[in-house]
Amino acid sequence: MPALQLLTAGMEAAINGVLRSHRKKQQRKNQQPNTQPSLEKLTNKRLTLFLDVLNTGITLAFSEKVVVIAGPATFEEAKNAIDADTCVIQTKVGALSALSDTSQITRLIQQGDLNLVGDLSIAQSASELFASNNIDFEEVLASYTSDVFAHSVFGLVKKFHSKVVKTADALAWQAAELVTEERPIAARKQGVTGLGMQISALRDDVDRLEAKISLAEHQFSSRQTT
Amino acid sequence: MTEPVANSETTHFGYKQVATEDKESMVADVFHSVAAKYDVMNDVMSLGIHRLWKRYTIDCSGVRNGQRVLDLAGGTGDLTASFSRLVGNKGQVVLADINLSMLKVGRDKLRNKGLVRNIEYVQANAEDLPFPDNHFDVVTMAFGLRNVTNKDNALASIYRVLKPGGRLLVLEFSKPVVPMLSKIYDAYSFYILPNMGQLVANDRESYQYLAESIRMHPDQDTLKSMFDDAGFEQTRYDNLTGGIVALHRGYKF
Repeated sequence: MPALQLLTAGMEAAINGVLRSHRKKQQRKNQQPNTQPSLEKLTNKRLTLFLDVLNTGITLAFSEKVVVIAGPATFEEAKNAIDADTCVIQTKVGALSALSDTSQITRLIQQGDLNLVGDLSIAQSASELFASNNIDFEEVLASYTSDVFAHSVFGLVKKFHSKVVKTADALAWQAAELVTEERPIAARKQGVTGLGMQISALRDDVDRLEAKISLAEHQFSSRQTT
Repeated sequence: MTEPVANSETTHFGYKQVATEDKESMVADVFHSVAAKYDVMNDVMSLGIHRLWKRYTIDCSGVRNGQRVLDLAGGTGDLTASFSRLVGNKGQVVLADINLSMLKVGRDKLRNKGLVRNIEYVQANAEDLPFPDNHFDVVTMAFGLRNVTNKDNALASIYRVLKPGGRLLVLEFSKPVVPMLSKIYDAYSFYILPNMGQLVANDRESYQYLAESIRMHPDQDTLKSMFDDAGFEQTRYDNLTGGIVALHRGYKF
């Protein structure tokens, strides 16, 4: 399984999920969704990140949503492909949130914790976008780069396997029941006999009732004549 | 399983031998039949892994802002959706497919996602592309090449429409490189897939064709040679998921 693609797919889903949910909350409160201005500022821009926790670059391409792709592989490669709409950053994941503050950027560069090439405003706008939506990059990445991720994937696979086995067992049991259970296709003889006896008893009751009615009629007409 | 051999008047349609001129319409019938449920079947058959294979293709494409991309045999537009966002307003993506039903499904899906500005839809045959020479920065073809009647013609046509410096990426089913995986894959393809096709899409035959057409597609090295013969340079391939799928790349210089 392409593991890096699993990471970028997860990041993309997480980031866009939060942005979408934040936009809906703002709309429900009848407020202008405040993610829109930040995203619009970044439309057609790209931010390439080389982070300490990853061994390759990841690129965020901004449009009406954020697309996350893997690559370029090295900072040098990214630097050589730079254009007016790109910013390339090499830093620690924990330093990303500081990028929206210009004074912090200077400090990070001086400390050697930040290497930046290209349009600084792209990095600042992206940092602002994530901060205003409470998107913690460190947390998002940790989900996909730590042992926790491997454990969860393994757990999911085990759960799925267990469910498949249980379903197969249940189906097999049902199939066995279906094959071995007797299902009568015609009424049983005893049932038919019982029904016949009930009908006879009913017929007898009707005959007795008819006789009583005839007697009552005769008695009534006798009283009339006398 | 023994695989049939084609001659110049006949070709493969899965394991069947058919007249060469009939293959295109037979493949068309398959895709007319599966178009409506194509996406859900891809997810069911591959347990969603096809999305990761396609992401890998996009990652390897190196598509940049303002570029012109051809998503050939692009069908329901999975790759086009991402390319549209990557090339931006100054770029262009052409979603081309020989099958009108697939193209319509793709167009509707992309429009429902709000992707309207930089995408064009063209019904086109990969063997005879209706575009100018040296026109595209990138051409991608995901799970389409194995359905083409004459793959050499298709590769030549793609080479013509690529700009110098442009690249072709072909994502396609290939030959597993792990022996045990190969046996499991055969069992899955020939017994489970057609039944899934019947259950989900009520179409066993199309998924039988899928399994057979995969077996008839050239292996990794053969396809790489075909790229070389068409004029592509720096050709290479990457095996994904043990070689079940391979991504072939080549440049036009």
